[in-house]
Amino acid sequence: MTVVLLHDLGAEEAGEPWRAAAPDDWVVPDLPGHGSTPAPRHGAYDPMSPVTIARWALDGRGLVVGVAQNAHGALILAAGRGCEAVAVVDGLWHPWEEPADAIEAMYAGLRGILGDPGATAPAPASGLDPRTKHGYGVHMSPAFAQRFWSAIDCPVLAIETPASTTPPAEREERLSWFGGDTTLVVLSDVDPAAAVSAVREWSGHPGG
Amino acid sequence: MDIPEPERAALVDLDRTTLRTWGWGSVDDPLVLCVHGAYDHGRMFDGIAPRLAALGYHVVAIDFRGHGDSGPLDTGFAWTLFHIDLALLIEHLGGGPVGFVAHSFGGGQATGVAGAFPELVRWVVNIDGLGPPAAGLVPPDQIPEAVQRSFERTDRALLSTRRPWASLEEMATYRGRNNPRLPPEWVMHLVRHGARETEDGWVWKADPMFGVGIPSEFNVAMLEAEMRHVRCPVLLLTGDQEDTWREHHDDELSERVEWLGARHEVVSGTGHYCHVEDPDATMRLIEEFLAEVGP
Repeated sequence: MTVVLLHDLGAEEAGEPWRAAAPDDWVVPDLPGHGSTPAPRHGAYDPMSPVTIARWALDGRGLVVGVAQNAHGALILAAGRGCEAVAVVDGLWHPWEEPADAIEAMYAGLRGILGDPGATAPAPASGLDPRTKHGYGVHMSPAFAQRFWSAIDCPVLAIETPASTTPPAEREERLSWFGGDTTLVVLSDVDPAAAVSAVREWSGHPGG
Repeated sequence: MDIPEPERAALVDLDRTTLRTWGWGSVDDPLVLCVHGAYDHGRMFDGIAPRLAALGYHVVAIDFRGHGDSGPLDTGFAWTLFHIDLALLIEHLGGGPVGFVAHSFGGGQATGVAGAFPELVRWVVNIDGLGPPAAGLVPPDQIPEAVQRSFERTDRALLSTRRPWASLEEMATYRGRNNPRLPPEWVMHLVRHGARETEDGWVWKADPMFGVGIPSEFNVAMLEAEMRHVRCPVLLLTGDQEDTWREHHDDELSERVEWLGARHEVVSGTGHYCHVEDPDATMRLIEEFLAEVGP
């Protein structure tokens, strides 16, 4: 089974920690603006570019693994039937926000970019682009998440680590919103090797 | 009808792209930014921009990224990216606060910039830019199919060449069908500046990636929160004629006017392009507004 892993946005070491932990046949790119891959042509970041990378690599087959902010992209791919299974690491979303708080957070993010000269200066040719540190600025309500995730009917593995922003008490409920079989693995450390191991074990029988 | 050329044109490098700007009036006067709607470009203000400049403003119209002569887009997920472009452009042009004259999609952009960067915006004239009707802000029933359509459009935008048209006249016929209230000379003006010639024929300048989206969260409650963030004076201008983009119910219109704290005026006898269809009435209402709120 082909496996594509999308590391987190703003990951200092890009895909390297995951490549070190993953089998050789996993595809673990440095995403644009990270490591050896230049920034996107238009110099900004959104969840769809990694989706396109994974989609073209998988061509509808195999497993996509999305880490943290790129978990959303992995789930978008799954919703569009672009893979056969999906694993998300710390990808069950943040605490829910009221709409006014979401807009304020979005605007705070924009003010953060404007206040960071490196984030709007020409992007570096390689290495971590400072703009990646400002996130995607994507908002999702529980009603929308429930509707979107219910459209995902392939097997879903959710790996939760201490770095997750999802309230632990809400994990099971959020997983119940997916349209297919789900499995939850809770790790005690933020450790790519442990996460890769969990994916490998699960992908042998992803129906849980 | 003679549509005058802008007094100045420039290409401005900022925010990792290049923005085309068109200018009128003294650069020492207070700045007014004119921002266009989706798939349009800055030359749609060629009619009223000189008249705004004559009131004592430095007027700059832009081509958004993915439009006109400005830089391309990699994805359609670019709503707030445009906010940053505009904020940086204001800084580049000497700093705010500035006035906005904003049409349609540009009205939404001006709303966002005024909310996110209130220190940069002095007032907004929003021309029929209240966002989609509520029915357009709900996720589609069939999410997998909608996502797949987005994938297909992404691939076409990234991998295919643009459809060539045989002539500007053919493009004008198409545009005129979509915007039947625009005067023919304005249709041709917008097409002439919204198209470029290639070896295979004419193509639209607008980036096909613009507008490629996925089902995502932007609902009426978020629109309300966004509009309630605006603290500066807002003049909303709408037409009263049937038009391809005029889809708000009266209650919905009133609600959004209240959220914006806007003064609402109707430009009688116009549709979506009030400033093009009746520039005299539009300018009269803008002048009345500016007389109240100051430059």
